[in-house]
Amino acid sequence: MDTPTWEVVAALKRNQVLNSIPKEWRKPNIRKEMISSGYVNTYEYLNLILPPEENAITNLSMLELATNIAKGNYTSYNVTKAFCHRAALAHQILNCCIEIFFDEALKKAKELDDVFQKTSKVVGPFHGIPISLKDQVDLPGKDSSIGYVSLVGKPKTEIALLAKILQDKGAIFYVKTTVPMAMMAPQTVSNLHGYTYNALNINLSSGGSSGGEGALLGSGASCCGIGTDIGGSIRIPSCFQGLYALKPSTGRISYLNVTNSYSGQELIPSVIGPMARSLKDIEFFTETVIASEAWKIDSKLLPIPWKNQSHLKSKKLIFGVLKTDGIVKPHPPIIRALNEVVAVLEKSGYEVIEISIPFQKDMLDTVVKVFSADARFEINNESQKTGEPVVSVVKRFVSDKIFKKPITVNEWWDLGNQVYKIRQMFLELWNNTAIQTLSGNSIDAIIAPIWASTSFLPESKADHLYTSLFNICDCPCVVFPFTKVDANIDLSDVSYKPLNEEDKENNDMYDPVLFDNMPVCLQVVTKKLEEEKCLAAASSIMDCLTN
Amino acid sequence: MTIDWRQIAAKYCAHRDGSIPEPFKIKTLPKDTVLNVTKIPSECGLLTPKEIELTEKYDATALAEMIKDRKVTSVELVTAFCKRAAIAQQLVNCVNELFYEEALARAAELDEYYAKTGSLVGPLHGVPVSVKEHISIKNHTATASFLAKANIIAEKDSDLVATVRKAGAVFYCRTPQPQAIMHLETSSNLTGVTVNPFNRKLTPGGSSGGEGALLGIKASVLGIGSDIGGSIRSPAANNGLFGLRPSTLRLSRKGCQGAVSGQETILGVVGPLGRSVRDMNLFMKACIDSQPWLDDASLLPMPWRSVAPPKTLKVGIMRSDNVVNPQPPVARAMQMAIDQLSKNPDFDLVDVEPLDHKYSWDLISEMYWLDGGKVYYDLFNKVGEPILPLTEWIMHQPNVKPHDITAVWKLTAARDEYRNRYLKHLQAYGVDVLLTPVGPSPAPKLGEAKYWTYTSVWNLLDLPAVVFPVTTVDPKLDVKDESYIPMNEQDAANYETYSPEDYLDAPVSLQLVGKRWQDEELLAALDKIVSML
Repeated sequence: MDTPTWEVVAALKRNQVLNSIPKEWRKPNIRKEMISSGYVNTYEYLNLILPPEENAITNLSMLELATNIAKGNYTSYNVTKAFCHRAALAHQILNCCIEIFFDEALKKAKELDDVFQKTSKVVGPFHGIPISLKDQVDLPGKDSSIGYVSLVGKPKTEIALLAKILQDKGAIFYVKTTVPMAMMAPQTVSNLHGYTYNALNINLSSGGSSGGEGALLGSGASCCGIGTDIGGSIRIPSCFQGLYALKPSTGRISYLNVTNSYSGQELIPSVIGPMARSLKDIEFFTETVIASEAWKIDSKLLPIPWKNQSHLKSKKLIFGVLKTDGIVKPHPPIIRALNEVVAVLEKSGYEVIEISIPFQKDMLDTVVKVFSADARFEINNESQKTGEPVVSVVKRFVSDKIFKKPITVNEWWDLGNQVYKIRQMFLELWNNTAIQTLSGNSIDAIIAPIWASTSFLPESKADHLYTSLFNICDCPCVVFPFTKVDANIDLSDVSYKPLNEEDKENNDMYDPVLFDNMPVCLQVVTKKLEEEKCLAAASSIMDCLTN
Repeated sequence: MTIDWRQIAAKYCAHRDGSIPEPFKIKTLPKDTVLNVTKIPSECGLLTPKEIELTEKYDATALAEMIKDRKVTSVELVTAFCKRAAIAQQLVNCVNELFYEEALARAAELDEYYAKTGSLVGPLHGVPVSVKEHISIKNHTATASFLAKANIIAEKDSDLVATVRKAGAVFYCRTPQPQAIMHLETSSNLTGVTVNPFNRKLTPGGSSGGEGALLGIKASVLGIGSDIGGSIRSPAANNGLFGLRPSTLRLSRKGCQGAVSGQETILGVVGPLGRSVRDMNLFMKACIDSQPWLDDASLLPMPWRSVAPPKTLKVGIMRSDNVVNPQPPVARAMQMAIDQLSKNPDFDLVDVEPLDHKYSWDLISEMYWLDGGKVYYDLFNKVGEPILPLTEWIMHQPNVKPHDITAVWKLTAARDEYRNRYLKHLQAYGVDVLLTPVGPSPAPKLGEAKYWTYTSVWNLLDLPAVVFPVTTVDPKLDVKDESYIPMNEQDAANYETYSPEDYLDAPVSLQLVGKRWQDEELLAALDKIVSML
C-alpha cells in the first residue's frame, strides 16, 4: 500500500492525541465556547468551568501539593486526576500537548496511594506530583517527535535520565508538550501539531520552543514542567505566561536521552531546566535533582554538589540592570518593570548600577551563525523524509542564507574562537563592573529583559533573539514575573524614533489594549555555574516586592 | 625566494646552543654506545656534591620546604638545575632554550624578598620549573615545533605560566616537542631527536618528551607538559616519573601555541610531570588556588579540594585493552602491583574488561584531524618543511579526512555516546579507580611509538589519569615467551619487537585512571596505592 502523506500522518497523530483524552473530557467546541463567553484567558476560563475541588488542587504550587499528599490531605490519584482533567481541557483550547497518557498516570497514582496507605510514607519528595515534560524528554513507548512528522510512530526505548530521577522520587508523568519543528523557533508551531496559543491570551503566542510547557503551566494544568533552552526556549514561554523558570549552565542537569536537534553541537549547547508557578518550586526541584548525583551516570555532568546559598538571601547583593540590547527597545511595560525593579531594590538598600554590553550585536550575530552553521541541512534532511515543508518561523530562525552549505570544520573552529572571545569579553566586562560600584566589588547578578515584548501575535515575524547572549555565555538565568501590562499606564511612545527596521517592527506591534494584563517577567542572571546564587538573587528580589 | 628550512633550523639550534654557558659544557661526551647516561651528570665533574644532592635526592615539595626552612636558597637550586639541564641537553637533546641569567635574576629576587620580608610569594617559591616549549613564556620562542613559527616570540606568559610564576616558581628552560606536537616521541626538523636518558636507543616519549627526558635525568624536579593522547603520560612512563593528565577545563590553556585553536571535539590539557604524588598535588593546588576561572572564561569554577581516599579503595584491574597485550615487563609490573595490593585488606581488587578500545582509536584518530590536517599542511608547506614519518603515520590514520560541520556534530555525538556507555560500564563494576598499563611496552625504540590507545582512550573519555613508576626492565625476569599466541596482527607486531636486551634499564610504569573532574580523588587514591608498593 502507499505510504501515507505527511498530512495524513500528522492528522492521525493529532487524532490519536485527542483520542487519548477520556470521552467524558472531550469538548470539541471548548475554544469557541470560551471565546464566545468573553474569555481570552484560558487559566481564568478553566477556573470557571472546572469543579471547585479540582481547582483547589490545581491552584496549589508543587511544594504545597507535596506537603498535602505527604500529610494525607490529598491522594495522588485525586491530584493526578485534577491535573489530567485540566490538561485535557487546556490542550483542546491551546493545542499544547503532543502525547497524552492519563491512564498510565492514574494507574501510577493508585500504586503510590497504595504504598502510602501501607507505609504512611512517601516514596520521595515528588510523591504523586504530576510533572509535565517537553516533547524532547524520552519516555519508553512514547514518540519524541520534536515537531517532525518523520519521527511519528518511532517510540523511544529508554527513559531520559532526568525523567528517571523524578520518577524514582515519586513523580508522575501524564503529558508531553508541544515544540516547534526541531525546537528552533521562539514560537511553537509545527506541521505535526499546528500552533500552540498563549494560556493567558489566546490571541497571542505561547512562545517557544517550550511553548507547550508554557501554555500548560500558564493554564494551571501543570504545577511543574521541564523545558529546554538554547536561545531562550525556557525563558520566552515562561515570560509570556508569567511563570518562574531556571535555565541552568551546561553540565548541571542531565540531558541524557533527551532527543535534540543538532546533537553534537556543543558550542552553544541546549540545556534543560524547570518551569513552575513559584520560585520555591524551582529551588526545590533544582536542589533535589542536583542532589541525586546524576554525574555518576551522565558523563557530561559536572560533579558539583548543591551549594547552600541561603546566606545570600540576607546579604545585600549588587545588581546590574541591563535595560536594552541596543538594537531593539523593549516595549513600555518592560521598561517600566525594569525601572520599578531598580526603585524597589534601591529602596530596600541594594546597590543597583546600570550596565550596558556594547558587543551584544556581535553576540547575536555569532549565535545566529552557530544555529545556521549547517545551512539548515539537518532540518531540510529530516523534513524531506516525508516531504513536509519547513515551517516558516523555523526557516527564519535557522537560515540557509548566511551559509549556502554546511560550513567546513575550519570555519567552525573560527566560530569557536569567536564564541570564546565573546565569553572572555563578557567575563572581563563583569569583572570591570567593580569600577562602577560604590562597594568596589563586581556585581553579583544582572537583571535583564527576556524578550522585547510580552508576547506577539501568532506566526509573527518575531526573530530578534533578545536573550541568547546568556546562552552564548552559558549563564544561569532565573525568570520571575514582576508586574502586568496596564493599558492605562503603559502607553505607546508616539515620539519614539526606532533605531532600525527591527526596532521599528517591534515598536509598531505594541498595542496596549492587546497586551493588557499580560504578565511582565524579567530574568536575573549570574556567572556560569552559579545556579544557587542566581536563585538566591531572585528570591531576594521577590522578598523586596512583598515587603 | 623561500628560505631553506634547514637554515631556519640551523639558526634556531644556534640560538639554543648559544644559551648553554661555556662552563656548563661537558669536556668529553660519552660514546654513542653508552646507552644509559643517567649517571653522567654526577660523574662528569661539572656538578658539586651539593648540586648533585639537590638535583637528585628531593622532590619539589621537599625543595620548597628547604627554601622555607632556609636550608637552601633559590639561587643555589636554580644554579644546580641549570647546570644539570645544560648537561642533559648535551646527552639527550632535551632542552631547546636555557635562560640561566634570567632564571638566576629571578631566583635572587625571590631570595632577597624572603630575606627581607620573611614571607614566601607562594607555594612554589624559588622552585625551578621547566616548561614544554609551546606553553608560552614571555620573550621566549613559541614555535610549537613548526619551522614556519620559528621566529615567533611570545609577547606574554600563557595564563598557566603566569599563575605558576605568581606562585613563586622560577622558569629556567624550555623543552622540545615533536613535529606538530603529535607524536608519542620527540623528534622535529627544528631540534632533531630527543632520546631516553635510561637507554638512548629508546624514546623518552612525546609529545612532552623533552620534559620527560629532562626530569628522567634529574635536570628538572617539576615540569609542565600537555596531553591530547598520552603526551604527558608516555614521557612520564618512559622516564620513571609521575605525570598527571587532569580533566579538561580545570587548568588554563590560554596562550599555549598550537596549530589549531577553536577546536573543541577533543581537548588537550596541560599538566605536571614530577617525582612524587605530593608534587602532583602541589602543582595542581598551586594552579587552581589562584582561581584561574576568574580570568579565563572557558574554565570551570571548581576549587581544588582536599580529599582522603576511601578506607577500602576499590581498584579495577585492566590488564590489557584486548587489542594489544602488554609486553613482559609491563605485565610483570601489573602483577607486582596486584600482588602487593591484594595482600592488603584496604584494597578491593576487581578485574575490569576494556570496552571497545579499537573503536575509541577510530574515533579519536579521526578527531585529531577534523580538517584532514589542512592547517598543519599549510604550515609545513609555507617553508617547505618535510613531514616526518610519525607525523605521516598519525595524519594518515584510516578515518582522517576533511569534515564539514554535519560530520563534526555526528562525530561529537558518537564520542558522547561512547563516553556514556563507558561510564555505565565502569559504574557496573563500582570501582573508585582503574589500574592499567600506560602502554604496551616500556619506552619504545626510536621511531616505533605507534600504539596510543592505552593512553588516548582516557583522553577521549576525558577521565583524569596519572602515571607512576613501578620497576625497571630486567632481562632475567622479563623473558620473551616464544610460545605466545598473538590476538591479532597488531598484537603480533608489538610482541615481535620485544626483546628484553633492547630495553635494558628502561623504567616500567603504570597508569591509574579516575573519574571525570575528580582529579583530587585520583591523586588521593594514587597516594594510598604508592605507599603500599
